[in-house]
Amino acid sequence: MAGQETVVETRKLTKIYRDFWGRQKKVALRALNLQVFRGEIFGLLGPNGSGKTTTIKLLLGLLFPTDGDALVFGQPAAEVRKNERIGYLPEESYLYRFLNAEETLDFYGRLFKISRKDREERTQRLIETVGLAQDKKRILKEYSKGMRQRIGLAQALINDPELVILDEPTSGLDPLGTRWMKDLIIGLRNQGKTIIMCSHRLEDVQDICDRVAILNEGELQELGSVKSLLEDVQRMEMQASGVQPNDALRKDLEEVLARHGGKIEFIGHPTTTLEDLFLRIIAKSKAHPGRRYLPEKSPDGKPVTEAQAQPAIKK
Amino acid sequence: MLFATLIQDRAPLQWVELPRAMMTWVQTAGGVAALAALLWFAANIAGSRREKGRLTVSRAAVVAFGASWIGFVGVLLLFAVNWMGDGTLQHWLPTSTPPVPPGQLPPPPPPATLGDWLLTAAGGLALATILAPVLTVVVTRMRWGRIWAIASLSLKEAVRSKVVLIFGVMALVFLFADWFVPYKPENQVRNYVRVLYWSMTPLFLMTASLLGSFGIPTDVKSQSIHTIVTKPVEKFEVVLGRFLGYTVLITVGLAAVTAVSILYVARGVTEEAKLESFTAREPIYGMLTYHGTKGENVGRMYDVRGYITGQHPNQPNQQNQYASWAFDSLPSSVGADGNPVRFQFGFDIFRLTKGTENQGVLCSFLFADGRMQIPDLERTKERVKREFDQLHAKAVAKAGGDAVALQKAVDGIKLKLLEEHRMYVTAGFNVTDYHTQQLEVPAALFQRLHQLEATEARQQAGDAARVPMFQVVVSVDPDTQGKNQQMLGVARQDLYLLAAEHSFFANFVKGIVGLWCLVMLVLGVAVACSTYLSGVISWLCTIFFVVAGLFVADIQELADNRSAGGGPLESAFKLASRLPIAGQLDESPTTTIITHVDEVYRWWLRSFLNLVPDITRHDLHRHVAEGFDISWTSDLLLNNILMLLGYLFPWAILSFYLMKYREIANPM
Repeated sequence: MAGQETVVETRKLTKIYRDFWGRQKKVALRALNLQVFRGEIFGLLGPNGSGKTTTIKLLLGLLFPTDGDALVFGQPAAEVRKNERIGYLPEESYLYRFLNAEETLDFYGRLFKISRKDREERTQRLIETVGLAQDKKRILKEYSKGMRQRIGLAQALINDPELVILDEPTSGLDPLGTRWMKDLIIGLRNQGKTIIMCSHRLEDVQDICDRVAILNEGELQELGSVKSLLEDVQRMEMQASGVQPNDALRKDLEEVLARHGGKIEFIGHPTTTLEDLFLRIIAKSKAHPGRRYLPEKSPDGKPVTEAQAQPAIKK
Repeated sequence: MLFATLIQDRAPLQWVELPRAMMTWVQTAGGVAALAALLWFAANIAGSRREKGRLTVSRAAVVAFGASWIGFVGVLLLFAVNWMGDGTLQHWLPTSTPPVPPGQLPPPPPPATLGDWLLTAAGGLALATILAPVLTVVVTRMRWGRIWAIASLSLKEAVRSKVVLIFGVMALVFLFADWFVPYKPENQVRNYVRVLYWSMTPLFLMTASLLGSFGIPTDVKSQSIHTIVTKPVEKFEVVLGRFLGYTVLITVGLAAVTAVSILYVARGVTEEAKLESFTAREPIYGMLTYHGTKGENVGRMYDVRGYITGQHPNQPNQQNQYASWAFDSLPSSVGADGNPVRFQFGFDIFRLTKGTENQGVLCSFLFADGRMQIPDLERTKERVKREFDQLHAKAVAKAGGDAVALQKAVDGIKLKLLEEHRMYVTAGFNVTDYHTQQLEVPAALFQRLHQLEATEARQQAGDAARVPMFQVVVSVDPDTQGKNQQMLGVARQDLYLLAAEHSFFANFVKGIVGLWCLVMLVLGVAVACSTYLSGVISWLCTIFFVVAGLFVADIQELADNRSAGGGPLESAFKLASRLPIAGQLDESPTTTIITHVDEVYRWWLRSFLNLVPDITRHDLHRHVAEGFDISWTSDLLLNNILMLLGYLFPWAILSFYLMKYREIANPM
């Protein structure tokens, strides 16, 4: 995009895995060309084995390219010093399970040029941010998957990076955790950070990414903004309120559209997403403790009362 | 009764030998570096793919590498021209240290030749090529804060994974193992030191090898290392951090073991053990030579002693046999305080006859000026005896039965004769085997010798041999009755001047430093192997090097062609042809090929020996057990710490490149 600073750039980036004897085993990435601009959330999409994680590892210097170049902040990906400005959340939380949350963040903080005072302040702030204040003294071995993911994100942010690379950040998280992660990622973007997000959960990418690259079998299949990629310019969508679908409305609308050369494909009620529904229900449950689901009618066809819905088991 | 000798398998490195030793190290390490660099260049040039992210090679490095190989080729050309010219350039060829049989002192190194300097320069350039990228990273990019952070992580991991707890329990059991080993009272300290050493050494070596071998591979396997190397952390910092963390852990463990051991020993030592080995003797050894014999070999296995015997009535023409210890110089402190100077010795006796029960071998000890040759000593001894007899008779007459006055007079006579003739004789001393015995020599003799040193030159112009300052000559007294013919076995370290005695506990700590060096060696090798290999393979490689290091002397024997039967092909040929193993092969085209193939095998063995650590060098427990002082400079600094650094340094460089080249996230 013209006028925007390029944070990450790959030029014909290729990775071929070979065995010990040099025999070719798998072409993981083939001549990948893409750019990631400052301040955007960039999604890497693709099925398993498409080369998403390979791309990320090449950018981080965990792998060496077979051909082509990978540049981060204008420096080769293998340059260690560029890591000062990068935060990385791996797919699995590969943290040291014998450390607790505070010790974990302190350890990673010591790997940067952060003073002890700043480190302590950042550690406490990040622990609060990721919601682990009550569990900060417990060792990571005792954490759930979601908790480990949160502390993993915290260690990725300990150095206040300009570029945050997230590999499957919502993997293993429940809908609440997923929403929280997505909100956090959007918050990071709003702070001016650049995020590269690797995922095969399409709804997550669609929700928050500005641009996506779709990979398959090591080849780039599509690249562009989410909006432009998903927009179907051949069709029109309109939403209305204050009316209900009926035959008279349908007939009137057909006449109007026919005058303009179009036709109705569907009239009905729009649907929300399951995630939104889930989040609304959970929010209501928290707001009204003891609230429970009431079916409209019992099996014998009579309305169900509150008393009838009480469990038989006494507390 | 004492029993303390310290016979070392090989002479320790001396400070005077250090420059040549460093030269040899540069040649060897540089040769390995040149070969490794050549293979790397060849692999990169031959490969059709380029792997980005590797180290870039500067032009200066290429030039230095090329110059080093020109140097190596130059040395090869020297050999070739010399071979073609029938030895005309022999004096230019690189020198080599001839094999030294066990118990012998190595000869002084010859002066460096052109070939030596060429080889050293080539090796140095190759090392510079390899070291330049390492030094650039170490000096400009590494931070000790990060290394210490990773070291702290290693410590926490070891503590919280219960490694420390399990080790502590095992150590506690082994520390008191000597309760179950029976011993004589005089062997109390010796026994404890030995049991402690032989129990702690495998425990620490196993711990170090396991920790070092599995630390990094576990991180790679669990991928927790991904979160580290994606920070601004040089991969070599990970290696150093792991090594430093385990070093701290092991050092603390050793310190704890040492403290407990010292407390255990300090609680009570028997009087016999105090005399035996609850000390740290500082010996001054002389150079042993034989006169009238070459030091007979009586057939004892693993014995470095030569044997002398005394006159026998049946052999009146037999030349007198002497064993002589020559002391090139003595510190000015010897005898300065006026106290008698102590000499301790522990000889072996080989019995030719049953002899007399409970009686050893009667021997004469001459302590004399080193300028005197053996004939001079014999004449002087006779003269001293005559004069003593004369003066003694006069003193007896003068004393008139006063024993105290007589003794005083006799002491005066001995002192006078000693100062005049620069000799002190002890005849008819009953030498017994399996004991270390002691003789005291009046300080006046040494004071006289020091005076002579200041006023009279020892070395005369034109003298070929170095004239010693002082000598001790031992001979077996004649067996006048022909009933007690025995042979006295002596080795260089069997007799020594006891210059001083130091604290046993300080010496004990120094012995632990030797063990620490050994454990650090194993840890370093394990960590280096683990930078590329999996945990189990790293551990096996480490154990391989340790075991090979235990057999360095045996491998050296094979490499020097000192083993019976020759090389493998020669031995196989002899076996197949049913020829005697110790015999020589007849010259033929077949045997010529066999000999050359075996020479190639020996060359590979010698090259392999460059990679194998000298494990036994760090074994100082015999010093402590036998009560001999471990010197800070020679034993500890030169022969332990410097040797450790010299061995680990190339491994550190190797680990730098292995980590740098390694694709941490490559699943293949």
